[in-house]
Parts: sequence; structure tokens; C-alpha cells
Amino acid sequence: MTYRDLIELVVQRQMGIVGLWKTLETLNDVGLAVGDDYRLVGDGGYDDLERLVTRFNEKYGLVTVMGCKIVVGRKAREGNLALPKILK
Amino acid sequence: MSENIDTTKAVEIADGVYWIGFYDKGAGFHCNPYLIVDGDEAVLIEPGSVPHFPMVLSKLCRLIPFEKITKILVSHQDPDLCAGIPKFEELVYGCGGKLEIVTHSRASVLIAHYGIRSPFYQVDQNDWKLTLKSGRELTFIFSPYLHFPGAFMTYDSKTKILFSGDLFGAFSFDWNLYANEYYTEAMKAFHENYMPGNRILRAAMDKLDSFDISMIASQHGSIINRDVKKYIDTLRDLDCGDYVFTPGQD
Repeated sequence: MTYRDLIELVVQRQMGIVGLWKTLETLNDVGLAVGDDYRLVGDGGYDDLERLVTRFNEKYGLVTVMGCKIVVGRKAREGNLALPKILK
Repeated sequence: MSENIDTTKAVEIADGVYWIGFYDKGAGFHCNPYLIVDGDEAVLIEPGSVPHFPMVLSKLCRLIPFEKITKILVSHQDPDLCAGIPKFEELVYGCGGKLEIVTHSRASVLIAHYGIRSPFYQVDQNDWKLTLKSGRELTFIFSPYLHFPGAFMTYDSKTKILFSGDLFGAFSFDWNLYANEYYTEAMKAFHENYMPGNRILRAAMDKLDSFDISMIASQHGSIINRDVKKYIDTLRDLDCGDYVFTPGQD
């Protein structure tokens, strides 16, 4: 489990919650991108995860954080990865 | 929203069954009231909150005279589906009609606090079914603790629609009347937050195996009108609720 995996998990969830296009726009807002297979282009780290979830919260509100917090938390525990405050 | 469906009007989702909600662009949490019209009576399902009342009313009044509504069915006591009941009562009684509120006894003691004046038809005291005047049967499927101890789903034998209450609901800014290819993720997100655990969820999903379901009409999110089994299996296997036992995840 890596931060890249966690970011992809967030992307997958947000495609369901805010839809494909809003998800792609929000990724772009924070300098991230996904390929045709919706896998993250390049590496992603703790800061990228924090910026992405924070941006979803700013644009679409708390529901977007609630919608990924539990599953990301579960996966982070499996990989012993620290989480940004917004996901705790 | 990407469908070509006019949701400014009531949408007939099956013969005599209508979705009478509205598309709230700013909301991540949509509510779906429904209406079953059956001969000379009608059942209003999960009618909605006080702020939603004018929008629901605007659709309802184009479909039937208010006195035709004989039952209001609510799967649990939350305000997003129940708070508008007294306003609907005013309409129905004002037209000389009569109503019963169909719900579980555990919910009825709480729903009374909305200032309800109609008698309750308690599903658990009536063999978990309701037979309409035409003989059409609604079967109630107990789904305790999902997310209320008296929660239940309703199966319409005529259309084979499962009115699932909060089950199969979703968070949805990108709302569609019918579930699209991304709905599974939105549904999982909602259940992880509101449902108490996999054993309880699995037990409810197992009960559905014996029903021939054409469509799942939930109170939140979108209507599932294809691949019904896929969504049941997704919830059957979903981990939810366990975060309460994890430090830092509360």
C-alpha cells in the first residue's frame, strides 16, 4: 500500500460522488492527473493526498471527505501510512 | 446530471409508480419520494422534509387528487423523509380524505413527535404485509439497524420494485435518476458512513435472495434499474461500521 494507492482510491470514490469530470478538474487543480485507466500519472505522496482531499472539500464540501475517509483510513492502516488531519 | 430525463416533472418508473423528488444541484445527498397509484387509492412513500415539501407537492398535485392518498409509508423516522408528513396530512384531511402512516412500531413512537394526527399501521403488528383495496400486496422486509432498529424495506408484488429506504442509497453531487457506472462507489461511501457493520448488512442482503426484484428505489441516491444482483452482492461484501473501534477514526 502506498500514497499513490490511497490517491487512486480517493479518485475512484469521487468519480461516484461528484462524477468523472468534476473529479478530473479537481485533480488538475492540484497538479495531478490520471490516465485513460484512471491510474495516477507519476508518483503521489502524503502532500498530494492532503491537497487533493482538501480541494474536494473546498469545492464540494464535507460529503466528499466523508465518502473516502473510512476506506482510505482502512487501507492506510494496512500499509502503516500516516494520514493528513483532514482524513483522520 | 447526464441523463435525458425531465426531472422537473414526476417520472413514471414503472406502471403507476412515480418518482416525485427533485434534482437539488447543490446537494450531495438527494432524497427520493415515490408514489404508487393503485386504482382509487395511492401510497406516498418517504414523502420528504419540510423544505422539500413545495417541490414534491408541485409534482404530486399533477398526478392525483390528494384525497386519493390513503397511506404514507416511511421506512424509519428521520426528518428528511418524515418531517413533511403533517403538511401532507393537512392536504389530505383538508380534501376530506383519511390517512394511515405505515411504519414499524419502533419508528412510530418517534414519528409521533412530528405532530402526526393519523393512526399508525405498524408493519410488525400486521404480518409484515399490507394489502391494498385492489388486492395488490406490499411485503415488508425487516432490516433492523440499517440504520435504525426498526428499519424495513418494502417489496411491491405488482411491479417487483424494492423500495429500500436508506439501503442502496448514495452520496451524489453528480446525481442521476438512474444509477450509472460510477454508482457503486457512491453507494459504498454512503453505507460505510451510515450502516453499522457487515454482519448486519449481510443478513439483510441475504433476505433479498428470495425476491424477484426488477428495480431498487432507494430514498437517497439513484434508482437501480439494471444489474440488481451486482449491487446486492456489493453490499453483502462491504466492510462498514468497524471504524468506531479504531483509534483516530471516529
